[in-house]
Amino acid sequence: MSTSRLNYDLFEATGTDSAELNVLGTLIHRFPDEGDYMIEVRQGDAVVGTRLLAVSDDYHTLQATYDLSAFGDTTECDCGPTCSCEDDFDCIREDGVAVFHVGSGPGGYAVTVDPVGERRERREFDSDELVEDDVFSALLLRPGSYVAKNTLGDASAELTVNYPDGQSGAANQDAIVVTVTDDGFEPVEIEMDPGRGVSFIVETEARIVVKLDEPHEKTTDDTDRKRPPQHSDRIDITSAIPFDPSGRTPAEIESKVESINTATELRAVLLAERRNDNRKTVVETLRSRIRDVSKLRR
Amino acid sequence: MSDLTLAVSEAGVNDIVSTLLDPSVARVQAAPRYDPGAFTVEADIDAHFEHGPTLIDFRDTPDQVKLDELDIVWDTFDLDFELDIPELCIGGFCLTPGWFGDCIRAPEKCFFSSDPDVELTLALDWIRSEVSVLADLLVGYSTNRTTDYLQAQVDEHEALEALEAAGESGPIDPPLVNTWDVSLHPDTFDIDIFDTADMIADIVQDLLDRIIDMLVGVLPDWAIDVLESLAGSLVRFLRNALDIGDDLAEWLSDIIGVSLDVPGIILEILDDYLIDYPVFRIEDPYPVLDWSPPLGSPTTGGDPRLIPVKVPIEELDIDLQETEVVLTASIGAYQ
Repeated sequence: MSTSRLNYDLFEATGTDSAELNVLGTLIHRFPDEGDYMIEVRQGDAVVGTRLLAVSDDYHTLQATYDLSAFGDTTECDCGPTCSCEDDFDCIREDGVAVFHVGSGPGGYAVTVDPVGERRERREFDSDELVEDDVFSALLLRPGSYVAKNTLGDASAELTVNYPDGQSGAANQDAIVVTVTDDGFEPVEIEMDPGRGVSFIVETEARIVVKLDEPHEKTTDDTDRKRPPQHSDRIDITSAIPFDPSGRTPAEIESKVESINTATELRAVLLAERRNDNRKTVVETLRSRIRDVSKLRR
Repeated sequence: MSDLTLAVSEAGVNDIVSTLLDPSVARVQAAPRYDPGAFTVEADIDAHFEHGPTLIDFRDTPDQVKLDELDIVWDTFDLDFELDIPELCIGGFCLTPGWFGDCIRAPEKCFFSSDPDVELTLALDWIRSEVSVLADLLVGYSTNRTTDYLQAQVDEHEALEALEAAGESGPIDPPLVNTWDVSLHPDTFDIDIFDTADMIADIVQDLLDRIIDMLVGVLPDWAIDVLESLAGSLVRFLRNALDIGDDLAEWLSDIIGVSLDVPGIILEILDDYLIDYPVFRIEDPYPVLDWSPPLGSPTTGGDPRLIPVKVPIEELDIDLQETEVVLTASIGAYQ
């Protein structure tokens, strides 16, 4: 029995939205000012959880990473080896960043960050409306043509994810940087391999939506990989032989033996024959076949 | 000086050994396990022996018996594989090159969550294996009773009667009396697990294909191509996880032959079996006259009876010839 756990969400998502984050999207917000901040994560109208983040020069951690699919009251951030976080809040240095992503699941998360204490008048971060210095990054896997739009304006860009033609190093390459300004996206045409990130550096109010416009399919037949026809978790003799004469009539066996062209097939039929009582039929048919072939060769 | 000579033909010994190796008695059953870390494989094996009409071949110089081409027929030969696929993730690349001083790293996206397991059974009961044994025919003495030989005979007789009353037949095993045993002691073995080794590569390839199918079979081709472009060939990935080198057949042969030591298990069981079940077992003292009929009233039967007349065998020798084995016994009390 197979209990393999594949992250299907990575392959099912065909686009991403900065205001409804899914597995293909990542949000980055930089905290230029010291202070304590409350992170709130929502999924639709429901609040998934909240978490306190302290920003101070007393800390050395650059990056606090949150998986929103596992976000809750008991959330622990992935702050790396130099993390100085404590149990009930996280901490980063001044000018550090919070990185929000979705590890698995259907997504649809929104994030807000508000200062706590004396500076409550200004919202620090809102995924519904990205502002200057925020970053939205997309990790596109499905080969195809995409359109990226800033839905708070009318700018758009075209992204092309190539069909893979072998092993690529895309997953290890730096993300492609696209700036989003009042004038639009720069560049407006991006081509990349699947698995390479594209990061939208926001310099104006923005909500970035990336959608698959037209998928690209494989253009040539793949003859290297033959996928098994069934999902059985038991491999038996039928994996090794092209034909099992058990329960076949002599005519059926004779017909099958007629089509034997290789030594492997011949050996396989002989092997299969052992397992049942059709020995006489198989052997006689084979002999007859060999005689016929011998005559032809003469 | 020999007082008793008994010759048994090669065909006679052939019949006896054939009976000893009857599937109802002689079976190879075991469940060895191999756990190198990344995967485990456990074998469930149950086999019996089959052979043609001529199993035994006497060799005169030196005196040895050859059991030739003894087929090992697998009633069950399942290899249960459990594979822990390691996490397969991408991430860590720089999300914001040149944005500001430090590089913000992309969080990991994992295609497989931690330690997904794949369980697969490779059923190999269709293969034929073969073993040939060159054995010495050796004489041994089993001391089952060291005192009160007369009582031992009574005990043996009563045990036989109890068996008969239960609808079964003797001999008593283990015997309640002392015995001279003539057993086959295997000297050399030649075992061939696969008689179709070149097909094993196909089986292993199918094993790999099936695992991949279990892992990503529901994905469309583009997704598998993307996965392989990012993480490398899934076949190579699995080969590394299973520690499969270039030769697929050799890998499975090594698992069965070395890691699980299936040949060793077969040989050990056969070795123990042939030694434990002698070809000839001669009671000592040897009964030349059995228990008498009841001596009481012919109509009512019952005791008393005369006890068997038995003669002690002081020495038993064998001489293996090309067509027969000759047993010579000397009568007398062992000093």
